[in-house]
Amino acid sequence: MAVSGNAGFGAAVGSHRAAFRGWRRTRPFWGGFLLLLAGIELLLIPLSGILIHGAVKLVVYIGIGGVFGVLLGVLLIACGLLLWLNPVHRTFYAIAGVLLAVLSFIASNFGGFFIGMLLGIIGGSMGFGWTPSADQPARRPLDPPRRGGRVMAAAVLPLLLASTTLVGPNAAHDTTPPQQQGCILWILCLPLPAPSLSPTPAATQPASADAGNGTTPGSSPSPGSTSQPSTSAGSTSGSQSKSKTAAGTPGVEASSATSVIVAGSATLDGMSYQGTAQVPTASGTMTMMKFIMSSLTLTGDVRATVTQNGQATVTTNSSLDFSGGVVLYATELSGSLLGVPITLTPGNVVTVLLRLVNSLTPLVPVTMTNVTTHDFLVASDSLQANDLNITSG
Amino acid sequence: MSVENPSPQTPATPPGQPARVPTTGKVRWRRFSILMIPTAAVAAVMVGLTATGSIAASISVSGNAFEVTSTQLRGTGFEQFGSIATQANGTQHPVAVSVIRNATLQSLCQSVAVGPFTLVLRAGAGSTPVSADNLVVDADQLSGNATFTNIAIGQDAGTLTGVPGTTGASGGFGEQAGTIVITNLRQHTWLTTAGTFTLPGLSLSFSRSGC
Repeated sequence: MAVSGNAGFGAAVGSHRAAFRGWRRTRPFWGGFLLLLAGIELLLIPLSGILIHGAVKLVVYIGIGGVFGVLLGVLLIACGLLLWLNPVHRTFYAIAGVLLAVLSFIASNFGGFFIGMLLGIIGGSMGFGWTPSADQPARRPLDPPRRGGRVMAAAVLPLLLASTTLVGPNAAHDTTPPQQQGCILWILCLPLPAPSLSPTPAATQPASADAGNGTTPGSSPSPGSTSQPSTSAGSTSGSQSKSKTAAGTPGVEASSATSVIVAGSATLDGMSYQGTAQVPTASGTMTMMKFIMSSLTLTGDVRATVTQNGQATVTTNSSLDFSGGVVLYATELSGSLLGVPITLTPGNVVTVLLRLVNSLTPLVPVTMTNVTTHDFLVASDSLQANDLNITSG
Repeated sequence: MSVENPSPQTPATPPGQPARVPTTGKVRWRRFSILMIPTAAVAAVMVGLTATGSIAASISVSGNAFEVTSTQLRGTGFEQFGSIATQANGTQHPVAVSVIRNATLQSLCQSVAVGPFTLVLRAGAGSTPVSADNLVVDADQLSGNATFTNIAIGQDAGTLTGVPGTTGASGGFGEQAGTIVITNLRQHTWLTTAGTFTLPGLSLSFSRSGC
């Protein structure tokens, strides 16, 4: 029945516009358009940084949740386009679009912070509501067929808001009393309290009052977040397998990036120099000094700089306290010991001496000042980092 | 059946008076409401359940005008490694990627710049904190007071095992820990994603200032 086309797109501007108008009137144009916008909006939030910065590598880390959100955006765009291109099946595409839009609330950043979800719901419903007017030939297409219908539709949004406010308090009713705030709706708080909302799509997010109802018995936090046991982590000192040098190797591979720690002072408790170790890296092994100690405290403008690919990441702390089974590997360690500047590198004179007295050094805490450590790999049972500040770039 | 006609149709359709009269249509608002009302109700229930933390949401946001703060973050299974975000013009921008397998965040606040406004999302201010699984944050700035257990710093980022399935580039600088507690966390991020996010006491607001 529907004979349509891109007739006249190549002709003069007047007929061009007329042809477009004809094309537009013969299909649920605005419904499809809103669905399209919804899909684009949902896609933009997770992808904008990637598009702007070209950081395609980062997509890898998005994981299943993010991929699902992106998929929803693509499907919504597809629904919008199919509403235009295949209006005969508009009911299917419209309902699919509405369902996807509702789903986007949990799957894609709260439905693109409500905007995409609302656009999708309204667009899909408009596509659903669009009907060919075979009985009444096109007089003035923007004439509303029935005034009552439009009024009813306009009443939907306030109704939606009202239902949200009902849902909210009910859900929270049997729990702690919610602390009311200047929010209009269950979650959406605008700067000003607005008792009456105009039913325009842009201004009305389906959200509701009350920010602070924190607790609900039904809302259990995700499993195991406070429990101690963890996978993996510090397997450093345990399994020493690979090569058979004096100190053995750590159970982990060291990074081959350039790293330097500078600290005003370092206190090494129960320190014992273990000799050199062949530490595996991604590109062969690296000869490093191995120290073990019961605790290591760095204070005085502690600054760790890691340089990879010509870019530096700087971590500063007011203090770093490693304690319990501290193992430190480094290619160079320098500083002042009792005012005497010393530099330790694998195999130099000082380290040979250190090796000789390694049964004595654990007895006294060693404090060095103006310490610099190169290419470090450190593991410990616990670390307290005060005033941590990481800056990249 | 809809048939797409290419351009030769032009003479048959005079301007302003399309010939395809029977196929024009319009939105019947009553019919619109038939779908809109139940959908709105379902959406409202979903919003309500999310705001009480009963349903977990999935979050994935990127863009550098995005900030996350929390009074206390507790996590099990922690990894951090450097990564490079390459801009379209070739400029390389380093970021520190933090990955936490299970995290709870007390008084979470996230702010996103949306045009001239800043959308501020708060949750977990009550006794139930926000919880997130497989939280990935690419930050170019991070501050707080941190306590780690079973930590290894300087490990090859390609061999990290704190969060199964997620590692950095081989040879890169990485660290991992069994548990992590950060108080007064503040991050300036490029990308934040979490597989699931439960957000008890969720509130969204627009404001001029961020978190």
